[in-house]
Amino acid sequence: MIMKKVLYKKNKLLVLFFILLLSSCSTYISSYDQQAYTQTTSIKVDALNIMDSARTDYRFHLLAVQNLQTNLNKIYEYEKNRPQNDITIKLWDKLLDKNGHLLGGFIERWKSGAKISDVFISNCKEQVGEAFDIISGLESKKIKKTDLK
Amino acid sequence: MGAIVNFESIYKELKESVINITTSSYNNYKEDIISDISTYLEKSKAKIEEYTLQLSQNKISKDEFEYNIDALKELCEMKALEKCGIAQIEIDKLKFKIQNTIITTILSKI
Repeated sequence: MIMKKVLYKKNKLLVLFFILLLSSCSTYISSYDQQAYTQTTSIKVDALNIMDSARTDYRFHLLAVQNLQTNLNKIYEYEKNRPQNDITIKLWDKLLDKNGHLLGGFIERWKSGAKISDVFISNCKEQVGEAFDIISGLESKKIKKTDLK
Repeated sequence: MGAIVNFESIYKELKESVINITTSSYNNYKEDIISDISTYLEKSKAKIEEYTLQLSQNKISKDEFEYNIDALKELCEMKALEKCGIAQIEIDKLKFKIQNTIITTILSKI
């Protein structure tokens, strides 16, 4: 009888241990963040609006571009400090790379004074818009707290 | 609450539940990836055709054409990264499902 009780207590402890162990399992990727999603979709609109201004000289839009870059830096910093967020950071790196051919590259090209045609702006806007959609799309697919209930 | 937990029977039940969840989760994921990648590649192919036409009509310069093609490549890389992220999300969802199944099964036995 005593043996049976000891065994029962031992099993209960084992069960508790398993439950605690399972609860502490980490995830591969960060969970959904409403702020990150809202910031991304919001700055997409600003970025595409500013790209439209590339029809005229960069110097006329210096302040607007600087403002956009400051906001992009803020979002990047926010994303960088989220745990398990490597893939989203890599996506932002691609979008903002000054030597690349998306938003970062477009701004650099505009700064350099290169002639930019309307059709080219339209192509670039479509591509940059898609890049933003990939980032916000991944965020929206992440696990939400409500999914766990 | 009085009975001693029968780990053998729980393990058997768990194994069956986990096999069921894994099979359904990974089959869905596999189909999505194939469909998404095929659609995206078709879309990129159409874009290359569009940019080539714009170049031939002098709507964009050769330099701009090359820039847009390079951007397409970068978008493909981003799409691939997104797929990796989705795969990780699917694995996390599976982990949570397994955790919940294990906890529910154990708790129902004690």
